[in-house]
Amino acid sequence: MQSATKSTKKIATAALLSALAIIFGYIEFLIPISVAAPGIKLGVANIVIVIALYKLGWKWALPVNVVRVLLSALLFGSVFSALYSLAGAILSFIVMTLLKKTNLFSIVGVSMAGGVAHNVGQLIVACLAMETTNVLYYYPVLLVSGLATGIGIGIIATLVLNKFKTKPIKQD
Amino acid sequence: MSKYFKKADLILFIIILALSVLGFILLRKPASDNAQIEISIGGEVTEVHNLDTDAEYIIETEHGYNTIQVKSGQVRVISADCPNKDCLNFGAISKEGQIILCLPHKLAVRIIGGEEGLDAVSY
Repeated sequence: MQSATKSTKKIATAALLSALAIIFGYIEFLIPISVAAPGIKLGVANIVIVIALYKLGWKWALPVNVVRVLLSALLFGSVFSALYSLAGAILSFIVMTLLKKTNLFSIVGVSMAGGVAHNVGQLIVACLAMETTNVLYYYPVLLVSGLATGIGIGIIATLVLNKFKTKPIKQD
Repeated sequence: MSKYFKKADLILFIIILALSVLGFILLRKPASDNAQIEISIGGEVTEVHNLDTDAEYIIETEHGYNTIQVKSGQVRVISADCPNKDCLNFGAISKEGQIILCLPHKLAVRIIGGEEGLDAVSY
């Protein structure tokens, strides 16, 4: 009974976070924050992914992430943007999960690496799609922006996680 | 350390920042006198023009069109029919190694150094 309740709680939390991530993505789609360089987004939805990773563990955060990317692309993106988003999201997720497991990094550090990995993932897809390594000339801009957005998101996620008064839901 | 950062965070931060700064320094330099702009579609160089010749080039492919403007050593995309218009947001580029990309059209516009030693050979 106890484990059934826990698992229900996890499903509900995962669903809630997925919805929240999609809404964040939608807000960013409606109000694109004009930045100095193209191909760069704040990625507010990633706040939710970082929180999901720390709150639910990677096994639950992964579906939240995938559902978020696919539904966002379906609702207000294109097949084209979905490919880039998915590559960035998956690489970022793998890096964040691995770094979190080392226990050496803070939430901000994990998120920072995730932000950079997100942009690197997109750069790799761009290389493949454009069939040229010319794209790599753009990498310094993407690294810096990944650092900046990742740190910002990490700080917000830390603040939010600190406000979560309930105990983390244990992995079963 | 502070509330947000651990030592490992800082080390990773410095490594990534260093990689990026290195890229900025190594890949970009002021355009040389005979710098050229290289236009490529899907990795294949289709056109090469002089950077110091003011002109507009319309690149049309099966994916759509981009209009590239070269003016006083600055290159920018001034119009395009791609969905996201990222190529317009790149703004003007003027240094060697800088690049403008239009991912949906597979277009890359890059400033490259002129042919080295051309003047020396053509005496």
